[in-house]
Amino acid sequence: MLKKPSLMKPNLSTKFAIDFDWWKSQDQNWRNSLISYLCPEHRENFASHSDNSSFDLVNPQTGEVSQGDALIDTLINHCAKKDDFITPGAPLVDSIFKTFLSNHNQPLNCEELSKIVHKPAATILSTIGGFKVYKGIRPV
Amino acid sequence: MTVSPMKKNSPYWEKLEIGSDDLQYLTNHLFETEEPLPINSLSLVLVNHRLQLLAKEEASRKAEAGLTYKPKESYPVGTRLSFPELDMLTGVIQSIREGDNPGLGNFQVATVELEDGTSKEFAINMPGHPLNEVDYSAASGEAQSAESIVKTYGRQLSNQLRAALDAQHDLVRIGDTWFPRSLLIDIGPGELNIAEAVLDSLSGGPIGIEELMEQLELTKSGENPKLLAFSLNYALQEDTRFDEVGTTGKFSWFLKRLEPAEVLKTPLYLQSDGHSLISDDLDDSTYQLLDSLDDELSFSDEDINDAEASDSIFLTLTYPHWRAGSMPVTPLTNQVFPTALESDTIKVEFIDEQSKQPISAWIVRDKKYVIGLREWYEEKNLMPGSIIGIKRTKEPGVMTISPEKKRSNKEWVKTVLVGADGGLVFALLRQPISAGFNERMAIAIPDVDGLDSVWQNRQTKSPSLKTDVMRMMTELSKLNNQHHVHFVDLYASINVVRRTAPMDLMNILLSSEEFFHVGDNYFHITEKA
Repeated sequence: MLKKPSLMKPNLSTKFAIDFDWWKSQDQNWRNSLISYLCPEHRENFASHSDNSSFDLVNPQTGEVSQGDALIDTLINHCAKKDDFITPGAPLVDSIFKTFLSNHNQPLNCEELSKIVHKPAATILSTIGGFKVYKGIRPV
Repeated sequence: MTVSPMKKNSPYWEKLEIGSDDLQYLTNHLFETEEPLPINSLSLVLVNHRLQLLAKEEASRKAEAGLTYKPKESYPVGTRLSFPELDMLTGVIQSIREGDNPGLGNFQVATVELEDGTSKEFAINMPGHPLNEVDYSAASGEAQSAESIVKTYGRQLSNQLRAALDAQHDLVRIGDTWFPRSLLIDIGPGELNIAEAVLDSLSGGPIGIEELMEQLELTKSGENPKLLAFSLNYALQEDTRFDEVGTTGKFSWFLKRLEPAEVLKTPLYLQSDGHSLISDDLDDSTYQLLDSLDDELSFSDEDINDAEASDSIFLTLTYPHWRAGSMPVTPLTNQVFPTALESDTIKVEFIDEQSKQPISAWIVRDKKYVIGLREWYEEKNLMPGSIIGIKRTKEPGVMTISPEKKRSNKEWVKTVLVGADGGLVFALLRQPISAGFNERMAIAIPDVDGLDSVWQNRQTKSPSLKTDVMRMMTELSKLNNQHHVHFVDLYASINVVRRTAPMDLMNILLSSEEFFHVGDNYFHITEKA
């Protein structure tokens, strides 16, 4: 079930994360957008697949196999782990999006994001806390 | 007992239960070695024994459990696998299919029927999985040595083992050392009578066990000296004529009947009707106030024994301890006093830091005081309220002692005057001072004999604590214009006429309508009273 938009205005301590379900429902181009963040090796593998919702996902701790979205799983568990995933000087939304991918989409507030992407917290809040939602980044 | 390899780690030793098989093994070990062993050595023997059992059980479990699952391996259908990451669940591969994930390359998926009846899928033929790097032999604790286990869990193991050994009868204990009763060397009544005579000639003792063995000519018997010492210690321990007065690990014997009277019987000034420990219900500031008075009546044995050792402490004398020539055994003082496992009385020595003269004293643990300092208090012109510094030395039973430094001069101090009728009057008078003092607790006693008579008379007709508190409040309130009395002044003063615990005094003040708290630990007598 999609989470309804909050009526509360976000502030510097509001936690944000990527709401993949919301993004999929709102943006038909979400998959192409996500593929652009894959490393070159995986970008090639995924380019030929149009639906990624029921692949074999392997738990990195136990080796157990479950079914799920291989694109998001690969992005978070593989590509986002590479040292050059977050590049300096990238657009602010890109940097924030990559930050969430690399931390397993753990919620962060603007103060915490500010320390990671090295931009003022107020600037981050005005970007992701406004009416327009970028890449599914929403208050938790 | 179910033992899996993972249990070699901390939960296993934390939850260890010592059973009859363990005790039998330890008894057999002591029979074989014929040498008494202290509890820490016995703990090591126990841990080694358990590690051997674990190794055996683990080997048989591994044989039953099959292969340890590694994602990089390829296994045929029907293979039995164990899964360390799933609490050692085991299962059998039922089918294998190709894995499907463009991000993971080529791999296979094995469907495993687990021992709990459920089925799960696991990746196999997958060289890049992080689980391939896990070394289960290290995680299972095989690398742990008995010594490292004892180092980590020694205290807990020793406590458990001590309790288990105390509950059986085949092994006997001296201090913290154990040995089979049936292997003890027989020490007869004759030897014990000679031991009594030896101690008699030493005015009671103390005498170390090695010296006593020589005096009794036991060392010439050719027996194992450790076993001989253990047997003699045990015989002395079982005979009520003797008292072990050494510090931990050092056996020293004294003739009980020649111990000072104030060791055998609590001095009058330290005897108390009430023993109210400080209540946990008090607010923080009141609790701290009562705690800071460092009165032995305020603390349980557990509070006192839990004290962490430190190099030095400062202590404020109260009248009862000043008069008895004693010090309290409290969480504060216990930081510098030696420990003893068995005996309630320990013979110790204080060294005057200035003159280097030794002062013989006794710690009477069960009654929570140290006795034997009266002459030193007089020699140093100390008074109730004086502050004393005590420092540990390298010898466990030896401490240095000194009054807190202060230039000798005269100060205005509460002074107790004893009337002809035995009534007490408090007045502020200039008194000579020889040591640093606590201003609220300082009380000059010009007439010690007169006050002794007051204590003697109160043996037969003792007023209630509330009556004494009212009298003392009335006296002390005259010493300032506001007529307020601070709790610490009152505590120090009431103890000039009767031994009173801080909590008992606080209870009277808080529960009686005659007194009210005006703030900052000051009390006032109400108009009604």
